[in-house]
Amino acid sequence: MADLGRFGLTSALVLAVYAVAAAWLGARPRRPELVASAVRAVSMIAALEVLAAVVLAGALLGRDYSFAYVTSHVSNAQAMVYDLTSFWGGMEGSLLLWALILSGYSLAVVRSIGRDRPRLLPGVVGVCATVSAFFLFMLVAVASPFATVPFPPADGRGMNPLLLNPWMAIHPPTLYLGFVGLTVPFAIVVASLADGAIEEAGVLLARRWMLWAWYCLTMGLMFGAKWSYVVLGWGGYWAWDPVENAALMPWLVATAFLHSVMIQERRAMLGQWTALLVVLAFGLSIFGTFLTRSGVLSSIHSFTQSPLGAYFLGFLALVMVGAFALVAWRWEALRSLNQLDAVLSRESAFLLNNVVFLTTAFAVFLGTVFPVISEALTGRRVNVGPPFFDHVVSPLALLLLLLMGVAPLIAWRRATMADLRSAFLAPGASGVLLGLALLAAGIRAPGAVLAFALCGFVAATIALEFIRGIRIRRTHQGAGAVAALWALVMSNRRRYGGYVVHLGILLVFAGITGSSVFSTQRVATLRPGDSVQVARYRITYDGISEATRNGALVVTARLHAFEGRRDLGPLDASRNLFLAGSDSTTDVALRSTPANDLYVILAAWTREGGATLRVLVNPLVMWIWAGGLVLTAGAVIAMLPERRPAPALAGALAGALTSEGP
Amino acid sequence: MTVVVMILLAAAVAAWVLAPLRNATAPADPRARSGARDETPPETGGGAPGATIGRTPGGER
Repeated sequence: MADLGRFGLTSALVLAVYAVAAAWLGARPRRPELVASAVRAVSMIAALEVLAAVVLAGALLGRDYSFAYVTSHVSNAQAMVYDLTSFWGGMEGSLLLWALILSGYSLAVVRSIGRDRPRLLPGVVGVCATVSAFFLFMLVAVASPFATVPFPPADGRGMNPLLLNPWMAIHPPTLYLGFVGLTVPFAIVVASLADGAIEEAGVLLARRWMLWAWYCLTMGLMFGAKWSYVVLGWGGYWAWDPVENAALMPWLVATAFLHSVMIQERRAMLGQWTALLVVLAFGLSIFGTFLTRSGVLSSIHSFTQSPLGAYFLGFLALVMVGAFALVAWRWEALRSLNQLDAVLSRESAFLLNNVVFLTTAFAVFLGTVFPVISEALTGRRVNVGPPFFDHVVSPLALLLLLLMGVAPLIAWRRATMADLRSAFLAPGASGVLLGLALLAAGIRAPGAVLAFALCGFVAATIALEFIRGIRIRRTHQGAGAVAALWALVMSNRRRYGGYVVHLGILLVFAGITGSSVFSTQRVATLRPGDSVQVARYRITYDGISEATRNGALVVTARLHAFEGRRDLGPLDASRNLFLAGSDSTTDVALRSTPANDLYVILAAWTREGGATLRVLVNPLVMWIWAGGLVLTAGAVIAMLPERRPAPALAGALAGALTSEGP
Repeated sequence: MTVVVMILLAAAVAAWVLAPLRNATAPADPRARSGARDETPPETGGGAPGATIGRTPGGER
């Protein structure tokens, strides 16, 4: 069966190379038959990759240890569901997943562009097939999932135990949907630049695809944070690890794009900038894949030796040089049709928002690659840890929070001080009152007070926008409040979906602030019957028990939690010591409420029955996960097709826009 | 057996992908292309020179 898998990937590679050539030759002069053939090749690439994926999945589920990949990632003791998730648990399989998702996206975008903008079809097919060809080449020549072993063992090594978790089952595919999804807007923009169809607004076409990729990236980050929180057992959900940063950087750039594209759409400005953002977001997605797949993270010294890393860097350099050259070539055509009318305007606020997003992305990039840079320049590897990121990113995040409240309410083109006063008086007062209330409640952390005050300000601006819209609809249509709200949201899904996304981000922001500033923890060594008090919780230690489960010795500290006199019930904090190898995982004892999380880690234990516990009380963590749900609702609303026709293209609108409002 | 399946599969894939090229390069009936007209004189009994192929003498009703 491995032969069939290899056949699928090799044939898909040949077809991808053919599709690039056919699309290129079919573009100029127009030869529709070549383009039609290239489109068929794209369909066949997908079919052959599905064939390869089915072969690999069959081998994993059937525990066919003649496959080297199966031997490395499956074991007889492993639950069947993790046999399947081990598809993306290793480098070769995850590269195949990358290629598979890309082929799905390629099919979808080729169908959509072929219908809406056939002129761009050769370019889109060419770019998608180029990226596919690169990944297929890696799968065929460098990291094949279909390598076989001459003497198959009776059992495999199994997956890294840390990955045997439901969150880890969905985190990588979701993140990949986002990462790979950034290829589509890139392909559209490159196609429109190559074709010279700037008036066809490739950047605007790319918006919907970028929104989807952005949403998947967001959820991928969320799932990763949740996994880190419940599985790694260190008490937090974000550690500024290079792998996390690799996903955060394209997310930041994609977010900047989703804001700047509004300026391009409404005011025919920032065309050059927006095109660059699309290129940059795609480049960072490849960079992130390189970071996580090249071995540069596990060992910084393997950077130059890893053949995978060298290929990724070469491809990244080639694509970036090509894409930036294309933008430079069309620089004049992308030039803004309008100028910034006033400093006090929505355009300025969005521009500032973009600068802050890019500055944040650059700071994260610098901190992530600093060890490599320092080693290259001085021969000494210098790591920058979480304090660097916290100090640099926190003020920028507060500025973004402020802009999130300001930008939607400020007028397009030019705002007056009178406008600002009427728009911001009530929300500003809400924020100040919340800040004062927190100070009065005894909270003395200035950063947290400022962050919560800004959250209050932004929440008030969003609430006012909804109230204003509902009031107008009720006055003019006599509808009830709920019907008016529904009609309001459905009448402008992008705008109100965007507000709901902002609400979700606010919840995430409040959760991050609460859990990072007000977290309390205590480490205590207890004997059975002893208690430890942390914040308003008391944990009683009842004893330790041992059991063998799923190939691991499970050591469990039996606990009982109390809040004041209220009995919160029993809790178990465990460590799983895997019998094969030296791996261990943590099952934290977790009790979540909207106010805070009680989080207990079994750190150590003795033969005499004593246990060392690390007990944390993390406030508002649940708000982060709730924010993810709200954000999902907003993104779904924003992605729904508009009932009314989308605003005319930016060029045509440029002179006509005089009205204010989003 | 697997090799035979793979060869057949590859041939089918190649044929399907290249089909648009074959259709475009196949020699077309010169009369059918771009509304070419049949220069054959009409049969006795009616019809004008230049009537399109298939029309009955005396014109289509």
